Amino acid sequence: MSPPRDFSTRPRPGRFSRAQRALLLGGTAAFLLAAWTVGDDWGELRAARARLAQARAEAEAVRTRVRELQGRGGPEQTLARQAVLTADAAPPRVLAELAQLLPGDVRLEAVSLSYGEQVEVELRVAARHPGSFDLFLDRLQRSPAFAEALPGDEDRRGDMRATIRARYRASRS
Amino acid sequence: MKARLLCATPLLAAIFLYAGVAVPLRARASQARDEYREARRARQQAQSQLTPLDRRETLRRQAAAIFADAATGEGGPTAALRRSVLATLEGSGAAAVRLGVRPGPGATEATVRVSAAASFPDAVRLSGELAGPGTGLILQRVRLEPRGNRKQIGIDVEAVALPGGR
Repeated sequence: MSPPRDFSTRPRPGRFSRAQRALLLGGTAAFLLAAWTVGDDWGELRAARARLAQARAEAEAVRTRVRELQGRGGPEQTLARQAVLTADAAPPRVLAELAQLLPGDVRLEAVSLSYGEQVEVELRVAARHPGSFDLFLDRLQRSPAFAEALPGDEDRRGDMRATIRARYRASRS
Repeated sequence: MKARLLCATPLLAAIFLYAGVAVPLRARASQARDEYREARRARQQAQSQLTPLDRRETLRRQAAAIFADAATGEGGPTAALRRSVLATLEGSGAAAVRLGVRPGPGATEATVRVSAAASFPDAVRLSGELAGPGTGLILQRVRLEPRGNRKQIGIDVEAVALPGGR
């Protein structure tokens, strides 16, 4: 005897309940989203690592170049420094800076510039009044263009004459 | 029970993927970004050290390059240097010119000594032209001092030139 056949039109109950189907669909969507997030994060990590490797390589290249240039010692280094000072502290520029500081009745009798590690300036100054010389010295000492301005021998009788030594600040910003 | 587990599998896999893979990846990317910022700071620091050193080297090379071709020319670099200084002096308004070009010393190709008299503006201009990049000279000493009737300024310049190609 075979079982009776069901010819009714009532739908047969599914394999999964509605809640289970919702869970399946939601889970699948969450999985896809998580997979996309992983792909995105992976790409970002690779890009960040590539940037990091490049920045490290650049930093190392710069450090190597610094070591190489700093390693050159002695006369070659001094000549390189003097080459910079020749460009940055050419006599017209130093004289123009000095001219700005001179009071009306003070004049420069002689100017000597020595280019070494720095530019040493030696001035022979004549002034009608000692006060004018003092003013010039004060301006020189306050000027950002000069450092270590020190007076030498001073003859303060009548027309004053004196010497001043200073260092020119070639690279200041 | 089996069906429930089957339906929950994608969600469990998603949780595992996010917590087990995405979150650590994100943390590593964040660490890499921090390290990148640090590397950039280090690079900038090194660059700030390099800039003045590089400029020194560039100017030194420029000065040396002036005589690179002259080394094989007639009379060699010393003669080329002399011609260069004479060209600078020409038309400078300087009088009573005394010029000396000697080889060496040490690492330098030659030493130049120029002594001349000129009006104050001409003397200042001449000192600037001798220090110009086209001459290839590196200044050692410059002295400006009135001469005689004070209308003339005596200018004394000592400079060196580097060997070409160094």
